[in-house]
Amino acid sequence: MTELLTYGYMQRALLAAVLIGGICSAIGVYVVLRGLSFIGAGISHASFGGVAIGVALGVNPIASAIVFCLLVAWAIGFVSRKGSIKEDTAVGIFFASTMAVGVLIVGLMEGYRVDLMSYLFGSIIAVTRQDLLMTFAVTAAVAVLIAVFFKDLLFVVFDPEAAQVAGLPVEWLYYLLLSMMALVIVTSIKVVGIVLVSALVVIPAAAALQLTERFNSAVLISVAVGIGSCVSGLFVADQLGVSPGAAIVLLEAGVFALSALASPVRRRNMG
Amino acid sequence: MNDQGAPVVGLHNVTVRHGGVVVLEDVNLAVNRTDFVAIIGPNGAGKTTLLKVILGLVAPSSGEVLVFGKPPNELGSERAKIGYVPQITSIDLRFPISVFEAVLMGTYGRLGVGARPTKAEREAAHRALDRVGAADLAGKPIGRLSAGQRQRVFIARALVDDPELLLLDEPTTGVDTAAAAGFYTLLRQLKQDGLTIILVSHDIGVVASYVDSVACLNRFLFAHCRPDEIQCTEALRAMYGCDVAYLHHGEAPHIVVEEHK
Repeated sequence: MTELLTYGYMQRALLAAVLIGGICSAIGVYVVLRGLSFIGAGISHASFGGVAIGVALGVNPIASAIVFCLLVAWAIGFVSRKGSIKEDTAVGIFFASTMAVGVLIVGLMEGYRVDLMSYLFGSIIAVTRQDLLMTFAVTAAVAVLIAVFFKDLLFVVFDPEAAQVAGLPVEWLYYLLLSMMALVIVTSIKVVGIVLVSALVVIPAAAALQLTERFNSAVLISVAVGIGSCVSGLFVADQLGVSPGAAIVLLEAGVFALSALASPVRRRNMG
Repeated sequence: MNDQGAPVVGLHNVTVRHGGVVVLEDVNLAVNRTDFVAIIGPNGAGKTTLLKVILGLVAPSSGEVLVFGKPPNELGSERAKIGYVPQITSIDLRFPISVFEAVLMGTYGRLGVGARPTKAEREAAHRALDRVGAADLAGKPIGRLSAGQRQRVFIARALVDDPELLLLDEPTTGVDTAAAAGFYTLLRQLKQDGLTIILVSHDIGVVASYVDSVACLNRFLFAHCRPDEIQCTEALRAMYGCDVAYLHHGEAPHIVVEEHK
């Protein structure tokens, strides 16, 4: 295993796994508590459209997907807050139509099919130096935002109405959360792929919330589960020659199942 | 009601429409300093909307709302003078925070975005818990409280920044009778301490024995009167379509509402 680490691609993959595993599961605690999991799935699928546009225009596909997904995330937020449309309906509409944009573009450009496939299912061992830099920048930016707005995001997620009465910029913080989700999700599609990326956000946080009744501990446990699963999934995939994305997500699902079975929180709520 | 200068809350000809539906129509209400007012009425009467209008969460379609002499959205730093206890059903009780953390949130509005609570805020949170008789609950996760304890904790959160006006939405939902009595006694104590209190309830019987006045609301404001006044009886009868009788226990008037006919 130590021998593996001497390969440049493996070092990059490992670093990416630590960064992405950590930041996805940190933001995930807010996402799960605020009930935004489905928006996460919507954003990740929208990134297919964003990636395809990037490939078609000849710009960095992750960069174009970030811009595209930020717009989609804000649109979902706007429509479900201002309109009479429910949040999940808004996601359902954007989810499919943005993905369709990608499918349409792929159809028009035969030659790029293979390249786009790697975005759908992820290819962590193909992470380039540039990818890694971008992942690092996004992780650092989101980590700083979470640190600065930690208490405000918590208040808004816990009790949005009371937060608004207290004079907090509730709407602004909601869009901040959506923006951080879009950034983190798009950056992570290299690792597990568009199809599986929302699991990285949702599962570690869901597992952590089975195990603790403290918010700070939930964040720490979630991050530990996220990083642990991403790193070990990478090694398992390398040893067994299977897809790293699938290995990571299945490991996380396993941790969740064990957490739910052992959960002191759940046992108390049932008793 | 006593007259000590301008009312804390004043509504003038307030009408609220949601879509095509008129939720509140031509409501006039004045609440003075240290008044303890219950807004009562059947489900769907617009009680919560009225509260949200006062809080500035819902803008009236027409009419004027003044809180501390200003429209609620222009209060700025004076927002800290309002303490709000939301309906408990709007809160996820599995949320992983402790009682103390929940109460500390009461300081976040004044602290502002990005600022950290300091020792002063933490002491204020402990004082607020003390004030509602819940100091021993500080470390408990909010999911492990009884309904009565939970209400005290959310009152502590509303009190942490020393507000002058306290607004409560259906505070006794799910609280048993004994705990509710203790809860209203706490509110009376807060009134003695100088707070102005407005609460929304459909629990007419219990409320009437503790409040100074009752505002009977069912889209229109039928009456704003002392619970034992005859016009209040008439208003309740008109609203509920049934006879309402009062009993007196010592000084506090009690209302007994009969089954709907």
